[in-house]
Amino acid sequence: MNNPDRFNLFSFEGKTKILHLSWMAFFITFVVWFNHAPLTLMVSESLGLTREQLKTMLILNVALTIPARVLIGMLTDHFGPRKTYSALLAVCSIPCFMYALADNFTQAAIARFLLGTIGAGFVIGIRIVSEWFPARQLGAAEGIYGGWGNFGSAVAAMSLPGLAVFFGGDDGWRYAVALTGLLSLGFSFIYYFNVTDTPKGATYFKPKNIGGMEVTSKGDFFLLLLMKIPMYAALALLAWKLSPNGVSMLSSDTVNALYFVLVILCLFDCWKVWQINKEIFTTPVPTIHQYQFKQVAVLNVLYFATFGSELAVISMLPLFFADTFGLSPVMAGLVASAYAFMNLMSRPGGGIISDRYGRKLTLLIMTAGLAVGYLVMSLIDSSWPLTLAVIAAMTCSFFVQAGEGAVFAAVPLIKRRLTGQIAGMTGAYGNVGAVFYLTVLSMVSYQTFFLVIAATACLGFLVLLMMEEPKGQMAEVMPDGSVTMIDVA
Amino acid sequence: MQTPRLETSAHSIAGIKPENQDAWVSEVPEKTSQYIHKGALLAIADGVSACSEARKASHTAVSSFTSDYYSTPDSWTIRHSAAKVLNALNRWLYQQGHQDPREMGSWCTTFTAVVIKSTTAHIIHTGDSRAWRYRNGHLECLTQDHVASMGGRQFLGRALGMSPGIEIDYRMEPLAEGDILLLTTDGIHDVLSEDELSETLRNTLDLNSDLNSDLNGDLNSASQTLVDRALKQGSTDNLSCVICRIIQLPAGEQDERLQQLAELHFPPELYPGQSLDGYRVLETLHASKRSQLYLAEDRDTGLQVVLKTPSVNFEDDPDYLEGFVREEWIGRRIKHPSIMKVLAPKPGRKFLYHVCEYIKGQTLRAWMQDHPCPELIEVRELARQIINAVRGLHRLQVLHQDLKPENLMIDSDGRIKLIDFGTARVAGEITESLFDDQGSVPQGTKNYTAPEYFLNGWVDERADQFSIGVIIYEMLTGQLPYPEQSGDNIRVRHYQHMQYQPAMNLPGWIDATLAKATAPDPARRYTSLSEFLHDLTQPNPHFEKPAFQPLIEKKPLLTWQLISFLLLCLNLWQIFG
Repeated sequence: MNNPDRFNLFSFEGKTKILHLSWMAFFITFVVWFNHAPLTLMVSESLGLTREQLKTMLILNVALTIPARVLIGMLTDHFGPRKTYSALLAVCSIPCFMYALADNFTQAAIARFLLGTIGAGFVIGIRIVSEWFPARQLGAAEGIYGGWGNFGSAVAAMSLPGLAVFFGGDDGWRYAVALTGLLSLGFSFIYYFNVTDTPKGATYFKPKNIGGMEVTSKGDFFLLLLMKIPMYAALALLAWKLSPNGVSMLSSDTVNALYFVLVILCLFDCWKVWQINKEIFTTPVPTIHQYQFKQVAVLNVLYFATFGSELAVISMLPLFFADTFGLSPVMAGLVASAYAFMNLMSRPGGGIISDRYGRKLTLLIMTAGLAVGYLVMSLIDSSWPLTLAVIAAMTCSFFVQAGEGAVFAAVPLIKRRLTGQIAGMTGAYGNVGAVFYLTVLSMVSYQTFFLVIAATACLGFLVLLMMEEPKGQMAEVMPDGSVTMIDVA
Repeated sequence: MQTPRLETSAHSIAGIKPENQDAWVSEVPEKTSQYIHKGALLAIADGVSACSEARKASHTAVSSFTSDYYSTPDSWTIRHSAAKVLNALNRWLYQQGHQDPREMGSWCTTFTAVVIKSTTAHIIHTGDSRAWRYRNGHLECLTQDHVASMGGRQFLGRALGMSPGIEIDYRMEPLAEGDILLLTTDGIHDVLSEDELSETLRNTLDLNSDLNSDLNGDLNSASQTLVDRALKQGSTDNLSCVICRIIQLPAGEQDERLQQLAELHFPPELYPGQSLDGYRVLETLHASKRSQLYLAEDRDTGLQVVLKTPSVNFEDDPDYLEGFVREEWIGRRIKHPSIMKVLAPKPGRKFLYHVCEYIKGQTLRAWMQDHPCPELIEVRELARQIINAVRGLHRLQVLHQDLKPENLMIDSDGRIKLIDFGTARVAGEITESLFDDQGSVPQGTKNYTAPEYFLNGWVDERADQFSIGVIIYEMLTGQLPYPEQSGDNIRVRHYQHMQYQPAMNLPGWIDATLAKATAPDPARRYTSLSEFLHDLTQPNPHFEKPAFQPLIEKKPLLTWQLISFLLLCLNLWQIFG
């Protein structure tokens, strides 16, 4: 019999195989999702795009992810992770090929908008990993899944400009993009034929109350409603950006219709929250079920600042380096990849550090670090040596990604039973952040953009002060090997 | 508090008769666990005075019912326990009466009992004694007299010991705090009208006063007053009554149970060498999303045991925690060679876990991997043991609900051991509202769980039969009888949507047996596991030559195609002919 304690990363059997295939799938979603960033300059030359249009495309790329997460979550409930992940990879290769073949801004924009769906792949993998790994290895497994998968954007940034040059000509970028689409399509089959949803004979769960977040006090109910608003506001912001007030991609009638739909959706969402939680207004919630929603709100804000800024920065960094230092597209991509490169170590690292030194302290340090980091990045101009700029970006990204890791290390400690929903909402806030920051970018200079991120990080720091250290119990092993329990206040 | 707080009082006199042939009991168990599972018992019996042994009959009925009822398994429902006990009691009384040379049927008695469990009163009744409930100034009779009138005279229609078979009335009534339950024999209620009874209770108990004052004296005086008043008004029979007042009911019970559970800590990850509540961990046997199994050694006795610890994933999931605790509860009550024993934890445990017997061996899943093409005879022996183990559970009114190859171990002697009762359903709990989770999360395993769980159908022992059928099919063929579904939500819309895949390379009668055991519709399965086992052992002649099946059932598509073709020909003939 296999020793279940062993977690051998180099094996390709059983649950480790699932983990490897899943982070690869996630990795590929990231490559595809951010295949445009390092190629931005070539695309803009080839299609004759303005800076304004380029930046709009960056926003479009992350917008659809917000609603797609909900949809993908439901599909995963329904069809299981294996089918959903395979389908997502296969289906999203279509807009990828569309992008590769685009002739003008509108076509490219639609393709990018649809590609936002692939960004929702994260939740599927989290689900399958949690099915396969026991609690004691779950943190490490999910850290590897998230961190190594995110690394995909770094690989895209490093390799795609080179590939585009290798294929050569004006259309080089098209081949590079199409290649990532092929990769995604091909891997969808590999995934489908090599993965099973659960270990054989695993007990399945029929989740109750799907669709709405549970809260346990009246105040929390209203806080939850308040926290719903930014998700719709982000999409409304995008609609405004596309209206005649922005880049005039949509007519004002269409945009008004979109506003209307968003309001209806928001009301529907709130109504569902009411449906699930109306009982708290009549009967008190038993102590064992109680938790504080403000903890979730704080983590949401922090993920907004960390993951949101990461998505925004990896989208614009090649452009930024090219514009600031006058680098070639290949060089700009390579330099920009330094930011995402840190993912390999820093995201799992954030989890480990917070396990050891406490969640709140770790988060405070990381948030302060990323505020300072972005402040420094706002100072970068052409007078800086390139090396120093790269070091600044890498240092900043360490704090950002370690912060992400620390956020997700705290998520399961808030309310174990609701972990899935809390993680989903937190993840959505990351995307909201990305839409917000990229919209800001489309209106202001790079310097102001970094300053805005630094300012939201400061805000996150203040909000964080309200968070209570997630209470937990720690087991202490006495010198004679016996286990006793100490309450961690 | 998980039990109701009650006070009781009773009074019984012979009246103008020479002998008191009534008997009564009011029993509130001292052991909390017994009180929780079996409840408190009030009973009254009135020996039929026409019989020679009326006094013995009523006293035997009350005393043996009390002792036998409290000896039934904790997992049984009250209804089931009372029925079993009363049936045996009735047969015994009947036989006594018939062996008596003097008279036929001389051991007859009425019998009325109320079991108070949690927040419900269970009324068990035969004969013409009565149970009443006094609530908000209103007295209500909860029983119906079993009397037949003949020629203007009333005769007792039903009683214990009267006939070899017996029908017993059973009903459940929700209780409220302040309720008063009253049991009377006909010596009282034949002379006192409902209003008089009600008035006596109201006056003697002074029911408008504060509930919390010490009222025990009043309750005793109430029973005395009732008896005295009936005697004064000319009762010619024995007079007996039992009164019980519900002072407090267990409230927010589930919350409190969970609170207690929450006080036991979740064990952390354990590593070899560490010790937990006096058990030293030797190695990790298994770790999954739901639980961890460790091989451990009792430091006092050196006995090797398995510690099963809950996964921290579920530390605030009440369903899981209840299942975990129920598993220990069941495991400690079932003594069966083919069912894993759960041992009592050491006193003063601080952590949540079970101590189970260590079974050396492999799971049936591993066995299946080692034996891809087993002999029929081997499988039949394992099947027999599996069925026996499950029957052991069913006898205690427990459904396993999660039978799968992973939950069956084969020990080093080749004996099957059933493990893991985390999702078992105990009849005594559910239907009697101790746990209020009927209809919630059917937890089981894909492919092995019977379809009626998803169709919200009635679930009974046949659900476990389905799982056993799938397991045996898989042992023999390595395949599943129904194609696997993916996703968390199993979708079965109708029984007809499930298509049984006939097993290849198996004798036809074995395949037919498995098809019947795994029939999607429980009504088409075997009515008992023993029939299933029998058909696995000996060819059932019904299966050998398939019964005549009309073409429309055998090949519906073809039938309709033929009919349509015929109609077409007719039409063509009409047009062109």
